[in-house]
Amino acid sequence: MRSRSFGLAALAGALLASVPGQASLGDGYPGRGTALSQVSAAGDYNDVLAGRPLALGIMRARAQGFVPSPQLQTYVHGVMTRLLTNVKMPPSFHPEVRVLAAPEFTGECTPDGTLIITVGLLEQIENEDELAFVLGHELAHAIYKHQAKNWFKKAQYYAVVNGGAVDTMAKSAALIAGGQTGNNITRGLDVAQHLAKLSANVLMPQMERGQEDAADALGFDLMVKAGYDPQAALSVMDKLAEQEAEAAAAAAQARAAAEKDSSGGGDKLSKGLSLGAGALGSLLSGSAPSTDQMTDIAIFAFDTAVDSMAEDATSHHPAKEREDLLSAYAFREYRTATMVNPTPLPWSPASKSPLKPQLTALLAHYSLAENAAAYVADRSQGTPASARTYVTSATANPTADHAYTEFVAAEYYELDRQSTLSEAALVKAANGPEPSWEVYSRLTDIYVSRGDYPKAQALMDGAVVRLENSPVLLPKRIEVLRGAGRISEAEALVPQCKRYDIEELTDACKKAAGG
Amino acid sequence: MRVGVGLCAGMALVAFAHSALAADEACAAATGDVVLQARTPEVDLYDGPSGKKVMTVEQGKFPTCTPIIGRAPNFMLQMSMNGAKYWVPPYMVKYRFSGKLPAVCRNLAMGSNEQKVGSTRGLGEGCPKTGGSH
Repeated sequence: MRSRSFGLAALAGALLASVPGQASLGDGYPGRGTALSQVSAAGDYNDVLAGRPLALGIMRARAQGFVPSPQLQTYVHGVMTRLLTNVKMPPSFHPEVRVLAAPEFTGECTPDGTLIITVGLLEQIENEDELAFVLGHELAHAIYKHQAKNWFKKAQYYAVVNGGAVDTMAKSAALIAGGQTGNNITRGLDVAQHLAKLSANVLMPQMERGQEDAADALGFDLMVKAGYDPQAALSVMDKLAEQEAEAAAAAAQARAAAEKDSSGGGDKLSKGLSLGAGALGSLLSGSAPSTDQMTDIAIFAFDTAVDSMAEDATSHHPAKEREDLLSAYAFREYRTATMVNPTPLPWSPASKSPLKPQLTALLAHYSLAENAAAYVADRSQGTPASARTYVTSATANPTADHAYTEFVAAEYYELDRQSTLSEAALVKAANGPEPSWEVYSRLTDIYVSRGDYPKAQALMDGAVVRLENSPVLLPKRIEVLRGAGRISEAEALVPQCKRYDIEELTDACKKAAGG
Repeated sequence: MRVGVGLCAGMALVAFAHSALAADEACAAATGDVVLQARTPEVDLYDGPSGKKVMTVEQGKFPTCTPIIGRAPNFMLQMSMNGAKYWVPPYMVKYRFSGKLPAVCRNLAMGSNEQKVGSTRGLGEGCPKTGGSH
């Protein structure tokens, strides 16, 4: 049966390869001609625009929010605008582009037409042409009004469960582990850290395969038409393939560790699974779990995430396959295209951009913060002296009040038992232009531990406005109100939690309300 | 009708994946950066990374497991064929780069060259140490 399948596949491949330029491509590619020549934009985009505040709120509640740099914003917006030069779109089409402060190599298009790219992506691309392909691909999703099924519901769920619980778990685990030993703890940490890295990258609502192909085709057309080097698209796919391979290896490693524990170390796995939503709920409500609990929760959360990934990954289209399809499309439609030299990024040595000094410093600071974060997570990744230097440099201008750099600084100072400096870093970030959920959460915990509820309440009020009343905030808001003795107000928020239909959130809210 | 198209596309993808795997295995002995085989029905050869087309080779006649001897900023790959050097567009061939992708070496006056854990490379990771602050 298996050999027959391969026989049929080989036959199909041979047939496809036998007629130059006539290869049948993926479902989303046009049968002939370019996607751009056949694109028919929707007449009106006002309907999707209405969802923008909520979409931005959800994205802000992930990772460390958006990078608050007007210069970077100007630059990426400029690339997007250049891509649209050759497309006639209705006046209601208002795509936006934002850079998320996350180290993953990721691009996303939210249903309202906001293109999301990450700092990790900007760090790893080699020229503007690669960026143009990524933005072109996401722009195509916006033009076609593609969106993952139940995007808002799923993205909200991921923001609540992964953005809150998993990050908290990984960070708490890293701190708890200081000075402690034991295989379970080490493995639990490994799992938690892998999960934290994977969650932000993989656990986003996925588009369907045909939609991804269609976006690749139109994105490719947009970049070529705008005068970019088409080869850059393949280079992006190479990078994506590398990321996928690393993520798969990390998942396999974590899975193997969990299975080993399950078979040889008693019933840790089943115990972890039996913790269910309540375990994540306790994390959401901010209570620190014990080290034993941490191990169990890490395994449970990993399993939950793998299940979610498996569900979402059914439509995930491996980069290597996409690369083959793009190559066939380029061969069919652009074989005779004029070669162009890639445009340097404004932060590259070859750049003459006036934005070069600021953007170079910005990305260098984020990179330094990533190095410091690596040390905080694993002390073999550097030395106290190097980490201190990273933190000092990363929190200088132009990133002095950025949530990402200051949060990492706070983590480092906490590890170094300098709680005053740690708190000061969080305060700086909270007063900065884009405070993140992690910043609000950590600072609130500090105020609550001191019984300073007025300060905690003021912080939560600010977070509600900043994060578009994100459900991620609800358990902590309830906890703060309850601590301040405002019981009826706390209880009044519980029904709001139920409204989102996220079991983990409902449990966390009930727990925070003392139920 | 849609099912047929889907099935055909599916088979094509399996064929793509299968041929990529086979090419990789066939060139297992080759070290360094390698052009594994032709990817498109024909491969165009150029006399420079931004030069002019000098030859077209059919897929079946294109050499396999050929070392890559140069990589241009515009992604073109240089290889030897029949004693002469040519440049090929990467989309026309299947290739394998040894190790990680080329390091992203930029203005590292304030950056770090240290290895990082996790799924991303550090800015400057793998680059020569510069006279920067680290």
